[in-house]
Amino acid sequence: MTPGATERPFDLAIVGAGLCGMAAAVFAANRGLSAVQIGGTGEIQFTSGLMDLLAVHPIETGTLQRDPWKALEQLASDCPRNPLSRVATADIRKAFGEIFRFLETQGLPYQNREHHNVDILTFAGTLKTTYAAPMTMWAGIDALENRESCCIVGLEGLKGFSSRQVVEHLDGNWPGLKAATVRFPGTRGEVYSTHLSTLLEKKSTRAAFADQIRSHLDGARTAGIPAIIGLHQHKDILKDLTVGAGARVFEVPTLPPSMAGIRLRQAFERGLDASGLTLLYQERVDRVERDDGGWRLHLQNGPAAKTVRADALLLATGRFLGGGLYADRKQIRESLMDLPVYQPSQRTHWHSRDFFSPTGHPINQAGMEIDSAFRPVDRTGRFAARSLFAAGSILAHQDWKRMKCGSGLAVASAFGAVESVLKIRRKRSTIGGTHQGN
Amino acid sequence: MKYMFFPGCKIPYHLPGYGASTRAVLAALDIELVDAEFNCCGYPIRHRSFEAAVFSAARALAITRQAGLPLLTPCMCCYGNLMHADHWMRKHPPLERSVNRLLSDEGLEWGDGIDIRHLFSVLYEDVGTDAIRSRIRRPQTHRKVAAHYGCHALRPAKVVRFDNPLAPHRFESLIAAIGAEPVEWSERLSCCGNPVWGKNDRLAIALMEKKLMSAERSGADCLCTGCTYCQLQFGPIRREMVPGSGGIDAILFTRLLGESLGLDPERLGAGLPERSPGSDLQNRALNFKDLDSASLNPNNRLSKTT
Amino acid sequence: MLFDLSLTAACWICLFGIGYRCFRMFRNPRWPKPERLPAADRWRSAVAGLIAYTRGKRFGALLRTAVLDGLFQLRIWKTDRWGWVMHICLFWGFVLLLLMHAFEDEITRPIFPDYASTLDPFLFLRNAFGVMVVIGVGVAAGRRLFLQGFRKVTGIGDWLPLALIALIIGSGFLLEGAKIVSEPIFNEMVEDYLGSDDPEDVAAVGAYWQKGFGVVFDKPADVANTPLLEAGEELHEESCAVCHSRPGSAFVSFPLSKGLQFAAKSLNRWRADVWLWHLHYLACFALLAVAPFGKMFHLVATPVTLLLERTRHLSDPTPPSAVNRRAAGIEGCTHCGVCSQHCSVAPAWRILGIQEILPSEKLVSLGKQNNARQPDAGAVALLADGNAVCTKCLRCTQLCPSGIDLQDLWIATAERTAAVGCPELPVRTACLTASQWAEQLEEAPGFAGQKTPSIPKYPFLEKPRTQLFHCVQCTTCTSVCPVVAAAGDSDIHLDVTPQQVMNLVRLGLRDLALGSRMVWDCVTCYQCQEHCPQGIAVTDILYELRNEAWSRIPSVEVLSSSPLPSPKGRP
Repeated sequence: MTPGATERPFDLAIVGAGLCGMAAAVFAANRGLSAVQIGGTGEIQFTSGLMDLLAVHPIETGTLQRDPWKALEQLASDCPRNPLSRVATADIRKAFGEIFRFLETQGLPYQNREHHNVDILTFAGTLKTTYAAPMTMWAGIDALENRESCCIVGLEGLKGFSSRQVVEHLDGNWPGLKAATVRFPGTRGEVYSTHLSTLLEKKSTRAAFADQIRSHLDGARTAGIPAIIGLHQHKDILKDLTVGAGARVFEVPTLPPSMAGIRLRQAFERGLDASGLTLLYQERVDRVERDDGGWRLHLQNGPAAKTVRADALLLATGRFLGGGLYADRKQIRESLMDLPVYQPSQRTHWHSRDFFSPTGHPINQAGMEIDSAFRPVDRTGRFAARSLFAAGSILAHQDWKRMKCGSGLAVASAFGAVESVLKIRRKRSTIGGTHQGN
Repeated sequence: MKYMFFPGCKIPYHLPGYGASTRAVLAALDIELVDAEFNCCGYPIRHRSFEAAVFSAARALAITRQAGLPLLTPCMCCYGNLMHADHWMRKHPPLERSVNRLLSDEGLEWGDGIDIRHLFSVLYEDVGTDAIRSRIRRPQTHRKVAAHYGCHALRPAKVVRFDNPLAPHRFESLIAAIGAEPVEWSERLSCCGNPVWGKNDRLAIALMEKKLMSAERSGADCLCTGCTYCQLQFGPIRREMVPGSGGIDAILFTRLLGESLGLDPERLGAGLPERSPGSDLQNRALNFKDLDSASLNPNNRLSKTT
Repeated sequence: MLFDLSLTAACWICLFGIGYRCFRMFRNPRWPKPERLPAADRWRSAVAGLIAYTRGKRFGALLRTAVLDGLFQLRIWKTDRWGWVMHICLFWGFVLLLLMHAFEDEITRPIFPDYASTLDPFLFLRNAFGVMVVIGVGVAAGRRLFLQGFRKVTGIGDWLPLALIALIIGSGFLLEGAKIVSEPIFNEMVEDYLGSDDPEDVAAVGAYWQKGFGVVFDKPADVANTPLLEAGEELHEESCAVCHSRPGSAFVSFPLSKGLQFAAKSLNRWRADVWLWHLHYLACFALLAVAPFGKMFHLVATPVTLLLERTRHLSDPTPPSAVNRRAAGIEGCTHCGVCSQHCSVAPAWRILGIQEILPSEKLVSLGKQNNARQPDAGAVALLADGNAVCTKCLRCTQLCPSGIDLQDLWIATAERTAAVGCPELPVRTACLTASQWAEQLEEAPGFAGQKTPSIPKYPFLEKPRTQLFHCVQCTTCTSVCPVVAAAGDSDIHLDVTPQQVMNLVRLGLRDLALGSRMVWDCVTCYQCQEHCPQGIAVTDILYELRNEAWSRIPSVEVLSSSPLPSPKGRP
């Protein structure tokens, strides 16, 4: 496991540690590929912990889709260039199943309704349509669906979460909903969700907090609290709070950095580490060069592991925030290898006049174009290299934020890319075998 | 296998048992240690002066380089600062030039490629958990151990390269290798409080107690350390600052490993003093016979320990 | 007359000096720990302690100290081979010259009735011992001049004894050389011992001595005249040979006299031998007189500290015994510099330049504080500053050739400096709020990173804008910070959070950040830096802010400025 100790090239190098990189690593590990994953902190901790598959299509009308699978089929016929259209619906289903199973074995079970999206109450009092949510939030989805009596409990000193705002924003849409604000036991001044979550690991704190919730319930059968229920023992904490408060307690997704996001990242890291993959987190790839049919990745400031060699390379480097793309004065570029980027012809066309345009801006559709095997292609449709792949939000012809398909895009394209890696390996080994036969 | 041994400043007087047990355990695992007269790693001065910290570390690294051996330190803070300095010497050519100019006065030179290792990296990578397991004579099956990772070996990962910074496992693997059960606990990656001890004692104690409570809640019967400063914090400093505090004991991993290898407790430093770096003068009866003096032979820069 | 007068004066000054040093040793110490004990108790304890060394285990230690540390100087051998060569040459060369040459009437002649200073082996030995001392002085001077860092810590107190010793030996050799060529002395000797005043006999001996013994005559004899020389030899064998070996045995002085021959006539005329003799003994008496006041007092104190070192495991930790030991330690330093040569934090001294980082200089400063009537605030602040850098690694204590328990002194000094209001900067910063510090810093010199220092000081803060450009103020650093967490669930005071510090720096309000609790209470666990999604080196920047504050808030100011209020919220 020493970085760089292996002289033998890896089957696959995954650059990126966001959801797409993580998913690709899971698929690679499950398929027995020897893989190395390189990436910074990633943006998983900025996620709410929810997994969207596809909730809005088409963007122009902003139509909310109840059934994501039907929406995917619709998308495939409307926008064949959208990366989600390049993966068969059955494969996407399989891919999500694989990820959920992986997370469950890491103690982070997710729940979903097989055939339709669900609505979930957020920290701002809005309703968000999503595909799957962690178990700790699920009771809230049930409660919202059935309009059960519910008390949203806010915490004094916790920024970005106001129970009163949540209730007022819903404005009678949920009659049984009421708000309360408490001071978390043993704290003063500002509080932060990470700290609260570790405090909850103490049984006495849990009991005291449960008592506080109960005293504000006033008959409510469910209680929503910010996502602060622990890192490791969230199942126990949730159970103890539910028993102690005498109501079904659930987490409401909060502003980043959210515990649900951090939990998700840790589950991936734990599981992937155990799977035997080589993980070079907090590393950055400085540059990439071709190497004997494969790739040689030069890492920044490494004494021992200056280079990593791999047969195939998967870019899951994200967009502008993740660093996969960057915009200079004239154009948008791909950061690592300066690959061709699909984009508006000039800078003035990046954005439309209306900043809040519901249909988004041309720049949102920019990114790397790929072929059916998830290989970056240039304008003429020729791939850059046989063993170079790309997946996730760096891809062109999608607007994951407006389509509410972030996780779907990440997981589906990672799946498609890893499957292509396998296919090409198989083809090559068949050719190699034939050669040997001759 | 042969390494330059960098004990760090706090072992000879404050925690001689760590030096003794490290030497005993490594000898039992057929690892040869070479002693040299090193200077301070620079960690304690880093608060005050980046240049002094880098120069101190670079000097120690230059001595290592002269010997042409990898360096092994049992202290995570030493390890962290040596790695930091090495990193900066590589990243910052003006810094490298001026430090090397100063070093050249003594005929020393820092250069890229010095192998800096923490004791645990050597145990995990070079010896290997399987080899350790095969030598265990008294497995510690009765123990549930909370692994206390030291911050400075773990983070920032791109500088120190010790383990996965967010989900490390090496320490737990080593604990499992000696037959003990590593427990999962939420505060395992957080700070022991020592860096602010003597500066803001209340904060230092609050952080320490938080960790101890978390370890205890997780069902551990001891907290295991692999760093001189962490052990001082949970050991003598705790006894001094919070007299009569209950809570689980802190044990050096080398002690546990030594016990399970069937080594004599004497050789593992049982009975050697643990001194808080500020304990009351009246209580310090000096007895230099008990100290780790092998590393303090200045005549030959390279003298072998047997 | 001059001889007796100066000898008497030197002896009295020396005795007074020893008495003064002993008095100083037994006076109530002011540093590192003030004590009030009746001097009688301490004397009693010291005497009782010495008596204890006449019996049992302690007697064994006394013997071992005397033989191993005294005769063979084993402790120096263990730490420093060149130092041993230097010291053994100086010590044995000087002691043997003293016994054989200076006290020839009192010691040498009673033992060897045939003794004459110009007779072998004594003639040879005197030169040999002289050479030993010269080697010792040479090595000592060479080390102090050329060894890394040694020169900077060498002062007048080190050079003066060396210079005096060099003067004694140099004048001795010159004196002997001048005597060899001297015609007046030859004439005196002939008068006293030849037993003949026949001018022919005198001329014969003169010719023989001119040829064989290097005497230079105003009117040179004819050394080609063989019969004359033969007659001279006969007379020489008769009258001179009893007291005069061949001059070649004076293997330094004789060649030296050859070198002096060109000027010999004037030397003889001016009686250079007499002047050199005055110079020689005056130098000796000067050394005798100044010895007790400087480092040479170690001849008295170091045997004590060496003895104490050998029996440290038996020592009584309570006063007055402990106080006596510490006093002996402070007085027993020879300022040999071994401690500083091997000091673990000497590299920090090379960068920071604070002399008080080095143990030898720390001890000098400590001795000054101990003896000063009025405490010198600036010096105490520097002592505190230097001692704070010390890691108490024990190396100096283990290597000290005098066996001084330095560790004990450093720890005691740390406690004392903290007690007298010289705590380290991290503690001091808690006395004022961040904005009060910002006000103070307005007057302090600007950010040192803007200059071009010898070693780049602030790799991150050199370009705060580019470093912090990517910060999105997402509070990830704050939410993973254990200090923020501890402050949230206890009454530990915290002013700003890590992400706020980053913002202050980005806004150019660095002075406001420098004194904030967040900067000084950071535990450097690197959680923030590791978790930062934008790759900002949060911890490293906090480190650099402390570095900057340290370089801008000089420690000396503390004591000289008005007393600070006691830190808030501290036990």
